[in-house]
Amino acid sequence: MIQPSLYLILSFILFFIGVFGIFIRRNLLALFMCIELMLNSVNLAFVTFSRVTQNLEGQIFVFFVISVAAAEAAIGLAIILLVFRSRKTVEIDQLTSMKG
Amino acid sequence: MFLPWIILVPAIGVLVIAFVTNKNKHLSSLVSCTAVGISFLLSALAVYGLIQLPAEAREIPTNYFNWTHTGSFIAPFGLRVHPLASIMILVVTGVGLLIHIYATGYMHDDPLYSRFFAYLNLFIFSMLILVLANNYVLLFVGWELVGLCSYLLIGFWFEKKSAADAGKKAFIVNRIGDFGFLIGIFTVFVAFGSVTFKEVFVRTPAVAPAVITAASLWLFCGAVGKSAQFPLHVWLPDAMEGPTPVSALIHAATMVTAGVYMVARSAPLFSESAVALTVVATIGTFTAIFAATMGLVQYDIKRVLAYSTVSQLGYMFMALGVGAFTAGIFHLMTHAFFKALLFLAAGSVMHAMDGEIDFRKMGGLKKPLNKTYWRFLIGGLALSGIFPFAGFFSKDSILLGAFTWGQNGRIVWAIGLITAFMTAYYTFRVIYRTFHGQPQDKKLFKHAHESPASMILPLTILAGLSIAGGWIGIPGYDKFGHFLEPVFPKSHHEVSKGLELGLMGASLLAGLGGIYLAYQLHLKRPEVSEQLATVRPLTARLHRILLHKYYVDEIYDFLFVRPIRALSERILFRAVDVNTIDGIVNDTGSGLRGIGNLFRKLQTGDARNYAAAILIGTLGLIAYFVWTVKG
Amino acid sequence: MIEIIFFIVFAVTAIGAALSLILQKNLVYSALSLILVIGSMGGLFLLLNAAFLAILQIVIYAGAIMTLFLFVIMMVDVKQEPAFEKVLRSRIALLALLLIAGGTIWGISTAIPTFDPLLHDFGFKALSRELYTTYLFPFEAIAVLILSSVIGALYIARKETP
Repeated sequence: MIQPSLYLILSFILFFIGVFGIFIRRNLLALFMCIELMLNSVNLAFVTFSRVTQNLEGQIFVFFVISVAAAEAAIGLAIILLVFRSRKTVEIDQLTSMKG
Repeated sequence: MFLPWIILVPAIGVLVIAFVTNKNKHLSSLVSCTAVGISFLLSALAVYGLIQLPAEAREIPTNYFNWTHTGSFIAPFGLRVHPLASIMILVVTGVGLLIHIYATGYMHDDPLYSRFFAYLNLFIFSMLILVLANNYVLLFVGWELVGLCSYLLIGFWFEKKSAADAGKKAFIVNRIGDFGFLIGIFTVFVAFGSVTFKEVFVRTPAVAPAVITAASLWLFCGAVGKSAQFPLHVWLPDAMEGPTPVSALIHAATMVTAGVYMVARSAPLFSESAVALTVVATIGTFTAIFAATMGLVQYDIKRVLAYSTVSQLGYMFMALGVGAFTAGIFHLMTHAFFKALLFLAAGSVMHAMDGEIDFRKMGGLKKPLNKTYWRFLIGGLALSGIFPFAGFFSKDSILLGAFTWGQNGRIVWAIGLITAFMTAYYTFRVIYRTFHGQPQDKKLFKHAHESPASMILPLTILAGLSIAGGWIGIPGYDKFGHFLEPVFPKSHHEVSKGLELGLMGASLLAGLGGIYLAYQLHLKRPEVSEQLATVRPLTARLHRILLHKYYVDEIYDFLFVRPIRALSERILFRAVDVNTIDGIVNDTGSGLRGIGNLFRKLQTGDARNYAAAILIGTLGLIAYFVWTVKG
Repeated sequence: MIEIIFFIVFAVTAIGAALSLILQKNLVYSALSLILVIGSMGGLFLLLNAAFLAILQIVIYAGAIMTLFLFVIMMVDVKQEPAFEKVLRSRIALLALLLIAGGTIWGISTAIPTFDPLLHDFGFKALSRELYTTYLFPFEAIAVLILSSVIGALYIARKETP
C-alpha cells in the first residue's frame, strides 16, 4: 500500500531539488522554473493531506495555488522581458545594481 | 495720592524720549528735564505734606498691589514716604534736575544725545523705586535697575573699549555684592516671615541675635558692592570712563549712596546686632583711609574725585556703624551737594581743556575759568570740612559719633581725623595744580574758555547748597536730626559742649593742615613733590604702590579672573562642551553610520543570497514549530 | 498493486525530470523537463483521487504556463549557459538542506500510517459545489487577480513606442 509518507517524502525531495536549483542556476528564467518546481511540490503535499483528512479544502487550495502561479508567471515573465531589454542580460550575477 | 507719579513721570519721560522725540535733541532734553522737574516738585509737595504730620506719625504708606504672592511669600508693590525717604527723594530729584540741566550743555555735541537723556530719566526712575520701596524685594528691583543704568551710562561711549570694560566691571562687581544681598533677603524672609520693612522691624525683637547678625551681614554685602567699599571698590574709579554728568549723578550723589540708604533703612535690624554694626564701622573706616591714600597720588581730576567718593562713603558707613545714623545721612546729603558740584566743575574744566583731565597739563586756569574756579573752590572747601561750609558740620557730627562710641571709638575717630587731613590735601592738590601756578601746556591754555550758562547755573546752585546745606544740622539747632529721629533707634549719647567744640576744632585743624601741606608741595615748591614722587627711594616706592591702587586689581585678576577664565576655556569649553557633549552627539551619529555600514553588507545585490537568507529563516521557523509541537 | 507501479513510475519520472531541470545547460531542455515534472504531478494527483486537479494541472500548468515560458525563452535568446559555478554556498546549502529534509521527513513519516478508504465524494461535482458555496469569494477574487495580472503583463511588456 502506498503510504502517505511516501508522497510527502517525494514532495520534500522535489522541493529541495528546486531550492538547490536556485543556488545552482544563474539564468533568471531557470531560476523562475525552479520556483515553479517548488510550487508543484507544495501542491502535491496539499493534495496528499487532503486525501488523508478526507477534506476537500486541500484541493481547493491547490486550485488557488495554480491560479496564482499562473498570474505570477505572467507578470514575472513580463518583468524578465523588460530586464532583458534594458540590461541585455538575464544572468543574475550581472543584475546587482541593488548592491549596497 | 500723587505718590506714584513721582516715580512714574520719569518713566514716562523715558518712553517719550525713546519712541517720540528720539531724533530731536532739544525736545528730548526738554522732556527729560521737565520729567525730573515735575518729580522734584511732587517730592517737595510730598515732603511738605509729611512735615504737616506730627513727628511720631510721619509716614505715608501706600500699598498698591501684591506683585508676587507665592505661598506665604508676599512681595507687595508699595511705597512709603517717611523722613529718611523724603530726604532721599529730594536729593535725588533735586540734584538730578541740576545735573540734567548741566548735561544739556555738556553733552551738546554728542550724537547719542537723546539716548543719554532717556538713560538719565531711567536712572531717576530706578533710584526713586529703590528709595520709596516699602519692602526689600521692591528695593532690590530698584537696586538692580540702578545697576543696569550704571552699566548703560558708564559704557555710554561703548565704542571705546575702556568704557565698555568699565561698564562691565561695574556691573559684575555689583553683582557679587548683590549675591550677598539676595541671600540676605532670603534670610530675612525665612527668619521674619515677611520682607516688608514694617513687619520685619516689628518682629525684630523676637528673632535670635545670631540670625539678625547673619541677615544684616548678608544685606551689608550688597551695600559693599553698590557703595564701592573695600573689597568691592574697584569699579568706581574705572567708572570715570563715563561722561562727567554720569559721574556726578550716579557715582557721587545718588546710586552709590543707595548702600548707605539701605543700611540706614535697616537700622532697626542692624542695631540689634553689635557684630554687624562693628563690621560696618570697620569696613567703612578702613575704606575711608584706604581710598584717601590712593587719592593722594592720582593725576586725573576725576579719579581723585572718585577715590574721594569712596572715602566719603566710608565715612558714611563709619557713621552708621557707630550708631550715628543721623550723622551718616546728613553727610550723605551734604556730600551729594559738594561732590556733584566738584564733578560738574571738573567737567567744566574738561570742557574748557578739550577733554583733557590730567592736571599735570593744566595750571593757571584761575583767570580764564574764573566762575568755574570759584565754584570748584567752594566744593573743595566743603569737602575738606572747613567751617562754615556744609562738609564741616556733617563730617564733624560723624567724628563726634565715632569718638563717643564704645571701646574703639577713639581709634576710629583718629583714623577719621587723619583721613580728613588727607582729604583736604588731595583736594587742594588738585585745585592748586589746576587753577594756580603756571600753565603747563600752552596750547591747551590758549583754548580755555568758560562754560555756557547751562553748565554754570547748576554749579552756582550747588555751590550755594554746599555753603548753606549744612546749616540745618548745626548742633543745637539740629532740625535735620530731629526730623530723622523717628526713623532711627536712639543711640546718641549726650556730650558736653566743651568736648563738642574741642572735636570741632580738631577736625578744622586737620582740614586746614591738609590745605597748607598742599599749598607747600604744589604751589610754593612743586619740585619737592616731584622729588618725593620719583627720586627719594622710599617715598617713590610708596608712590608707585599707591598709584597702582595697591595692585588690588592685579590681585583680583590673578585670584579670580584668570582661574575662572581658565576654567571656562579649558574645562568647560574644551573638555565638556567640545569633547563630551559634541563627542556624544558626533559619536552617536558615526556609530549609527557604522552599524548601518555593517548591515549594508547584507545587501549584496545578488538575489540568490536573499533567497538563501529567506530559506534559512523559514527552516528555522519550521524547526521551531516542529520542536514545540512535538514537545 | 497496480497503484504501486504507477506510483513508482510517476515518482521516478518526477525526480528524474527535476534533476534534469536543474542540471541542464540548455534552457529549452530545462523547460521541457519542467513539463515532464508537471505531467508526473498530474499522474500523482490522479492516484490521490484528485481528478479535477490533475486535469487542471495538465491544461493550465503544462499547457498555458509552460507555453508562456517557452515563448519568453525564445524571445530572450540566451546562449548556452556556461558551467555552473561550484560555489561554497551551494555545498553548504546542499548539506543543510539534506539534513533538514531528512529530519523533517523522519519526523513526519512516523505520524501517518495509511490512507483510509475514501468515504466522501471527491469527484468533480463535490469540488465545484465547495468552490461555489463556501469559497465563492476567493473564487471571484482569483478571477479579478488573473484579470489584473493579464492587464499588468500586457502593459509591462509592451513594445516601447519610439
